[in-house]
Amino acid sequence: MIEFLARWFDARLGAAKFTRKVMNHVFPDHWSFMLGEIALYSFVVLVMTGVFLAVFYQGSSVPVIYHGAYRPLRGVRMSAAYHSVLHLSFSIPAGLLFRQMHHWAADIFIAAIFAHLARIYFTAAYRKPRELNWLIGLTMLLLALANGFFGYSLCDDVLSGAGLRVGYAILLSVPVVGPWLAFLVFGGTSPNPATLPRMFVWHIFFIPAALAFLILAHLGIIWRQMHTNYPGAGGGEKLIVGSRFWPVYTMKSLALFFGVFAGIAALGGWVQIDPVWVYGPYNPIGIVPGAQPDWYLGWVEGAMRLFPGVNGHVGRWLIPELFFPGFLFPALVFAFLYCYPFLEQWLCFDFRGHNVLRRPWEMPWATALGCAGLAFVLVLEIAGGDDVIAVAMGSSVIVVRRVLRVLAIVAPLITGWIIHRWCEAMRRKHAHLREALAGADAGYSEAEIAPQPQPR
Amino acid sequence: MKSWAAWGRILFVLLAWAGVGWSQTAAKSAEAVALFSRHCAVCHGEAGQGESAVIRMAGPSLQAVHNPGLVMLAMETGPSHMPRFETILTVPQMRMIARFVTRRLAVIPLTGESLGRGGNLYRVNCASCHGAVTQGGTLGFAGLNAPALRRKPMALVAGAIRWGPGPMPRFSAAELPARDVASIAEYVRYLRRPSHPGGAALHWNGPVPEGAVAWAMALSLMVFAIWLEKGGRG
Ligand code: HEC
Ligand code: HEC
Repeated sequence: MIEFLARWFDARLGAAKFTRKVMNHVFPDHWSFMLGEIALYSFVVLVMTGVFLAVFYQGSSVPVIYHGAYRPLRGVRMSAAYHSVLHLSFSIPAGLLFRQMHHWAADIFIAAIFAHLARIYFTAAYRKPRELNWLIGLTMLLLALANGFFGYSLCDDVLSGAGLRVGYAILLSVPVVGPWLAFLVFGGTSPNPATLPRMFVWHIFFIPAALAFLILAHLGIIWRQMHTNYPGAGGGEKLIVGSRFWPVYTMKSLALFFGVFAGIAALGGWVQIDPVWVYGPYNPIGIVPGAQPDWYLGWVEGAMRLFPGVNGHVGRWLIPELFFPGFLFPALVFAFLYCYPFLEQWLCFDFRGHNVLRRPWEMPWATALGCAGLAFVLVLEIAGGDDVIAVAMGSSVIVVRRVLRVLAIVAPLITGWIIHRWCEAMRRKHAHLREALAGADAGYSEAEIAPQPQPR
Repeated sequence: MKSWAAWGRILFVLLAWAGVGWSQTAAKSAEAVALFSRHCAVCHGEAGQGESAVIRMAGPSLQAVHNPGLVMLAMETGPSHMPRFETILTVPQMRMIARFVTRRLAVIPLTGESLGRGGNLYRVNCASCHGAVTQGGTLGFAGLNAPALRRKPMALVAGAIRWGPGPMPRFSAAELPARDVASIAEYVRYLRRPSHPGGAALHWNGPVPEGAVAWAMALSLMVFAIWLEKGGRG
């Protein structure tokens, strides 16, 4: 039967040849090449659970009275959006499980993207001919951040509202175009009944569609260019060594998919995330200690907390303090990342293509710069939760914040210096190992790694 | 005529008895006032209104304590900074004080509460300092932290609202009428054992611990990927 079907398709589509080609595609074996896949599979979980949530969610600020299963909120006035989230959490079978899985998957999705980005950076996988995928990857990260923020806002509880207020304030602080920008995203001043429906459409349609499209492009380009490989893995600039797509690679990847799904489902079932019912419906004057953005925006929050309270002045015009840490800083970070491959090409005067990765210590300043940046972001991330830390340590926020302000300057410098020393030492130690940097503009073929079991 | 006299005599006896009883009660209540102001007012204030936390040993407001058992228990066990009175006062004296506290000092009624209303009022008036689930939080300045309320008896919560210990604001009857005070206390009591589905609560500290857990899972998945690359062996 299967054979018959296979013949049928083959006769019409020439599928056999194509399938054989696909199945024989070679992927190098290394765990760090699977970080992107963790992100991919988290995205799959996000879409699967998101479809379920979208069936029950109502993106509307129309006020309603709650009469549902959660006793303390009975008789309380709230938006239809918050009402639908409560209903989903308390009255729809498995609704809370799906909601929590969705939120955990989002947190893990972006963590995996982040780790993947770090791997690409430290092994210089962004070099020609792969700059395009670097740009696509960064764009996907931006979209993921935006969608995470929108998703966080859709629940319309006190945390959502606080997040929206901060987002609104940041947009307003942008010189000249600020008010228009804020109007575009929020559909008026905030809070505003036009905001939720607008964000809902972006959250479930435009951004996921863009992400799906970019993921296809990302993977298509990887397929076309073939994967990079590590030096010393048996391959080289002209040869890729690894496992075939079928069966070894497919099985590995499938196992990873099940692992990701199981991990997210376990968290969704066993660990509470965003218990909106204790925060209560959005109320402009409500706020609670521990109200933070999700971790992937915590570094921006931290920058806003650490930045000294100084406003900028241009002639008669005021540039509010918030603009610098809240908008300019993340914009500069992303601008730097977008330009980085080209910057490096230009600085090192290296316009050749590369299929072999660079070990992190081979380019000490780049690695030191990356690690210093990570240290900086880590300090900011910690600063984003400084109130929680102060209470947990029985200390004062003021003291914690002062320490973190010093650390934000000192930690990157020290980290960068240490990493630079380490790279130099490794370079000396491995001087004999360094391969000549051959150009690889032409020809990159594939070979299966030697001891793998051969299919007949 | 006879019956008149009999009735008169009975009335006289009754009146006399009432008079003696009244004077005894008055004496007792005077003694209770004296006992309270000698033993308790240093910390709890003469009217049981609670002393300002400027004094380290200050005690909470007792103006919503309607249960004599709670007062007896406090005197017998001495919670937190409060001394034990077991050996200082006799049991009848303690009973007297308990009755005095609950009948005379408890001027904040705890009736007519509504959980939903209490939740709303709590979230607007208290959650910013004490946290969404009364877990406590920081005031953000001078190293001041608002305490967790989970172990506080409902009566103390209600008392604290009117009293405003230390840096906490004081809510007058114009701001929060009696019914609202009772509702807030009821919601705080509810939060001791809230219905709270969805698994382990991460101390309700919001996205900070959530982010840490997400990263722990992401790192575990990376370890899983390493294991897969080793061919699933060791
Ligand atoms: C040295 C100061 C001090 C004195 C004196 C004192 N108290 Fe207290 N009392 C406290 C403190 C502090 C608390 C709060 C305990 C807590 O946080 O649970 C308290 C709590 C209470 C409570 C609440 C019970 C509870 O479980 O928290 C009652 C009732 C009470 N006191 C009654 C009295 C009476 C009656 C007296 C006099 C016989 C008295 N206190 C004397 C300091 C004092
Ligand atoms: C501005 C922040 C703030 C707000 C708002 C606030 N509190 Fe407090 N609360 C505090 C602080 C700080 C303390 C600790 C006072 C001290 O150190 O004596 C406290 C103490 C308490 C106590 C403990 C008193 C005791 O006897 O130990 C209770 C109960 C309490 N608050 C309840 C409430 C309730 C109910 C509300 C809402 C109506 C509220 N608080 C609003 C800051 C606040």
